[in-house]
Amino acid sequence: MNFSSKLITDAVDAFSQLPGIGKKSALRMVLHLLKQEENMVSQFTNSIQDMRMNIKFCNECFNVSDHDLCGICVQSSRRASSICLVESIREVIAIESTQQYNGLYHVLGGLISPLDGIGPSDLRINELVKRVEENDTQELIVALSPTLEGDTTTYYISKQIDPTIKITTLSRGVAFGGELEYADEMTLAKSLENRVPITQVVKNDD
Amino acid sequence: MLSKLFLYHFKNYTEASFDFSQPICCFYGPNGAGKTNILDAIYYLSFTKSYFSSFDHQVIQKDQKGMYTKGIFDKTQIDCIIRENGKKEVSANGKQYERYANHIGKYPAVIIAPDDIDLINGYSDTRRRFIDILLCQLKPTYLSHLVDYNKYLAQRNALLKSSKSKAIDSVVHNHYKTELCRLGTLIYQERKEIIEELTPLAQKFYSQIANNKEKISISYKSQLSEGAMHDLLDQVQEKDFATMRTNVGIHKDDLQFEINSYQAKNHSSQGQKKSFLFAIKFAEFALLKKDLGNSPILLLDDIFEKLDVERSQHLVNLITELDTQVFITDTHKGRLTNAFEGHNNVQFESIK
Repeated sequence: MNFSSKLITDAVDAFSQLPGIGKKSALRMVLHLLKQEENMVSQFTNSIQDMRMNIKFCNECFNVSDHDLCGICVQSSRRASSICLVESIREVIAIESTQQYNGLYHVLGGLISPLDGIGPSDLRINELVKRVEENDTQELIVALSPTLEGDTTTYYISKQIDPTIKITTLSRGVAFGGELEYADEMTLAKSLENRVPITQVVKNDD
Repeated sequence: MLSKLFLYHFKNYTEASFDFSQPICCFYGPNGAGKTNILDAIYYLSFTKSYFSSFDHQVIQKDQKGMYTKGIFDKTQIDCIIRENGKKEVSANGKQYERYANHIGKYPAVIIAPDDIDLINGYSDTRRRFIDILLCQLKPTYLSHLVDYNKYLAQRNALLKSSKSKAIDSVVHNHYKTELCRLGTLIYQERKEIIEELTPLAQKFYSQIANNKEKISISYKSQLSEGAMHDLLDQVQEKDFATMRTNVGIHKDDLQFEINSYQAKNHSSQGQKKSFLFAIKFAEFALLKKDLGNSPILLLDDIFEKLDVERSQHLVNLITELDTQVFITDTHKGRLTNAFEGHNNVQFESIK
């Protein structure tokens, strides 16, 4: 695309670097900003800049934070004896939105994948081992993706953690709202293998 | 049985329709008339993709933007449409499939074309792919084992390559080794069993085509037949670290084809190789027919290529005994009508 202004071109290029944004969407955003008051645009750019410059990572769990400890780690109502291991901040948000978990997190920062040049030392595994040892951790919930890389990482971590500590993983099986007919064989086989007592599914009235 | 075929903007056809009333249909006509394209259209209706073109846009007639093929299988109408925006739609009796995978296998087909001779002349990956495609259709879990094996293999090789710059983590490495052994052994067993099933069938078909003159053998060559994969990996560990890749495993498997104990690839004539190809593909057809309970359509492109008169006649006799729908192409009408003389369930279609 050719614009009469180099300034517009630069702005469009900048926006189109964002994930999921093509040249056309980028142009729409730039033209929208052009219509705004100047101070509105300053506020907009400042908030982006502030976010990047001032963001911190929690000293304990490596979640994003405004302070040395994140909002989850400082909450005294949280059960400190339980740590949920996740790949990235995205999973923290996903699990938090279930409102079912009341323990702490540990953000690993990736999964072991030599193809992508990521080995155990590139992840926050030593920090996790130390944290589990130093705190009175009773349960480690490994909530990593059920992929080959996730499984490798889960296996690796299970070998690093003190064997007296209870380690669990998320259950695997047929998805909610999914139809059995369309579940792939592997998922269905896993669900059969790890079937659950009916009382967990059907609530008894009496 | 496919009773009707309609093509619109498919390859060289602007618009054409065919009615099939007989189980065997022969297309004849000059070079470039579009005989093979008809077979490809039938293949497309079966597999929702072309056998000869790797990209969907290549099946659309030159200077056109979309295509439509329709086939009536028994009482079901199958439509394959590529819209002008490149979107593909496959539907049965007007109901569109959400996933092509739900369609594939309902109207199976086996195609044999001149280029398939690569199975005998080509590299080992062609032969592994042949076995893999067959097993994927027969065993539902095979594909996921194979995909996982290849992913672990890629990860282990990447890990071995990273040893240049840093020490290899033994826990991660052991995990990859354990998984490769588990999956590799499963795949080895599946391949071994299917080849044991395939071989006697192929031998029977070859004898029929060659009139018992020669005896063929198919043997499965795998390092895993020499020992457990775990031991083999331990033996080559040093070599693996030096070469920075995995030197043993089912990714090195091959099939050895022999005619009268001579390797077919190097010691056989063109006609013998072609007979071998037919024998293997017919064996594949027989296995699929047994397993699917739905006889695959046979698509034989340039059927008499490289075969002598005698073998051609045996081949035709064999085809008429297979009890399935067959589509055949050849350039000479006379050759076809002679070969099928005495059979009345054959129809001949001229393609110009």
